Amino acid sequence: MTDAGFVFAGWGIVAATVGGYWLALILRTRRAERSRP
Amino acid sequence: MSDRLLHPRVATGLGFASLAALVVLAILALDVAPPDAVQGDAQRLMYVHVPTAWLAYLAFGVTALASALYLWPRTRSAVWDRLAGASAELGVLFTGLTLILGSLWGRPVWGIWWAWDARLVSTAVLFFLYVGYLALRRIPGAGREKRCAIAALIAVVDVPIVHFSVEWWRTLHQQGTVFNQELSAEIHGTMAVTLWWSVLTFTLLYVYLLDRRYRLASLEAGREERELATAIAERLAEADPEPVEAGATR
Repeated sequence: MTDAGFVFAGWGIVAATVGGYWLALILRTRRAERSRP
Repeated sequence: MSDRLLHPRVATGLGFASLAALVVLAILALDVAPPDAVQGDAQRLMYVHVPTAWLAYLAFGVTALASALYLWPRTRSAVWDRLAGASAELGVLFTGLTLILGSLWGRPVWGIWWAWDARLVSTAVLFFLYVGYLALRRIPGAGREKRCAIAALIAVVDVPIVHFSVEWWRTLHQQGTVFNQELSAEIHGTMAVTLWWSVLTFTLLYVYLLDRRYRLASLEAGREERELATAIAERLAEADPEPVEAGATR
């Protein structure tokens, strides 16, 4: 793999992980808010 | 400060600010900043590796501080326990990213994915310490908060070990560069700006995600309390059926 490949892999992993975590937080929060009486 | 850390509008604004800052960072780091004279383009991983490592320190520091405030009787509050848990989860996330990014940077620069180096090993230990801390938080029972607060104060001892490992032992990982008085390293202006921007951006992102995670923890705590109250009411109803009216025949 080229240097650019390592760089894009690293940045891609950061974007996917942080984006996925954020999305999971939003969805779980909405579900928890809906289940409130 | 009960079920939210930030006002909802402030939190939303911070989320958009973090996103905009990340876009600017990507442009600066991947296009504007020049490639390193020795490492070439591989050095562009620094702009995500360094801020994620900083966030690991920050997140575990916040966890330790919140845990200490929980343990101190005069400031004891569930708020601190929830904050400690929320920050630890972010710390684990960013420590994991630090390890992966370090490995991806190490392969083209060192020629290896991993080395049994003091900095790398102490960082991996930090990751597993806080995975254990998060597991401990999921074990119910009386005194859970106190137990977790003590564990957090023990685990945070590894943070200075990680930081100073490159000075205390001979390591493959380089020593600190920017603040190293002995090196008096000169860094290209655009590289320096990009590095500082990356630290600022990820710090904003941490504050935003911490608020979201804290909010979720508060909602989950409320749900658990409601479920517990319902379960207690059901058990009481089972144990104490409707009273028999006076004079009624069975």
